[in-house]
Amino acid sequence: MGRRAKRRIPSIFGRVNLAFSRYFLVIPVCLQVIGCSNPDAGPTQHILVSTNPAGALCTLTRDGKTLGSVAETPGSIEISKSQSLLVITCSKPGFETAIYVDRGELDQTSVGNMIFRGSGLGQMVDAAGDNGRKYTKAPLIDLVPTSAKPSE
Amino acid sequence: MINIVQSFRIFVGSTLLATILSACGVVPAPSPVALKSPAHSIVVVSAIPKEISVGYEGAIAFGNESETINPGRWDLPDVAANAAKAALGDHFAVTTKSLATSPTDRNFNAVEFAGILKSQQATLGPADLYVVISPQYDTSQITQAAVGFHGFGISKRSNPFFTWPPIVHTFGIVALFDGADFKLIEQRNLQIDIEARAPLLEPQNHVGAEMISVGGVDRFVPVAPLSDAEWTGGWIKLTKDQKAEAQQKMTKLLDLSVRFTLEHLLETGKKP
Repeated sequence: MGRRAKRRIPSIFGRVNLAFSRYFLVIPVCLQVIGCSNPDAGPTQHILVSTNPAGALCTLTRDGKTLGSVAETPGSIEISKSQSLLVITCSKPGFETAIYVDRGELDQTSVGNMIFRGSGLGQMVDAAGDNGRKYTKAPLIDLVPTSAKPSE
Repeated sequence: MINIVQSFRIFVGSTLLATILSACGVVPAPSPVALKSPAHSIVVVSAIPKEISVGYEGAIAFGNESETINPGRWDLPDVAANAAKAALGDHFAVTTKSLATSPTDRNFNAVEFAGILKSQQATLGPADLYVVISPQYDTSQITQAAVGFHGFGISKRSNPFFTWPPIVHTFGIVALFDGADFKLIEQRNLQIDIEARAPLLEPQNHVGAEMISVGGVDRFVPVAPLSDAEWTGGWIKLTKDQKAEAQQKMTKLLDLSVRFTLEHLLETGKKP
């Protein structure tokens, strides 16, 4: 076969060569896809639970159901993502039981969502599932000594 | 130093905003809540994150800056708990509990918190009433001047024509739950006594103070201006003195607003 002639396709700017048209079409599509949802989002996430001081027993609950526990902080646990509040309760002898409530944040880490944040398109797509919210990856929970509890 | 052009823009913007706000109506002063049965014991749950928001909202989204930072030992949860105890302590048996929370972009949800109170009752202790203090994300019902701002933090707005002074704000809510069935009794925005707030509007000739004083909608809203009108957002751009001013004003706003709201809500401001 002889040398292939460059194909040309019609466009709003007239006839341009295929290579340029390809980029012209692909770049906006990529941005839109990135902006619509977080490609790194999955159904689960790891949470590293730490306390100050360390060595506490922490239990993770959501909607009244126990998801799991960390026998001795710091420790990691994998949980499913959800729109619901995550409650972490930590106890250690000599310290007040600490309650930590993670209300989750809208995941706006993707470049697309940041660029198109004003449009809300990405948030709408994410909100349709549970991928849009993420809990704090490594919460640090302060434990207050029983004797040091504020005046009550 | 604020140059003349910048000063003029701030002045014009503030005056216009104050005029608009004055015409929009007035947030009523807080009124007392009617309890079904007398309460004797109260557990105050201070559900305030250690982090605050710092933001700048410009005319276009690309100029916006928003970050959540831990300012260090500002002890805002303790400030709120102590203010609540001061407001209620003479009338009720009050215990306080700081409930650590993550920074969030979602509104306070009474149903969710009722579930937490119920499941954590053993830790929180029994009470006739539970009082939850929390930041509020959606501030559109609190103040039109603060649209775009949320929770506890430092914010500044501008557009191509006007620049509003930076403000410190403690947009939050107080929610009362029944200690028996954990149902929400009442939920109110944090409000502040305008006379008590007056010292926070210093310097008095600051245009931000004028804006807040004149703006009818903002009369009871816990906001106070920062001195440096040139600041364009970003925690790292604040000097040590500016951070100290922000801490002092935010701590005072939170203390005053929690006291004022609870004293009016449960009528403890009046001497028995």
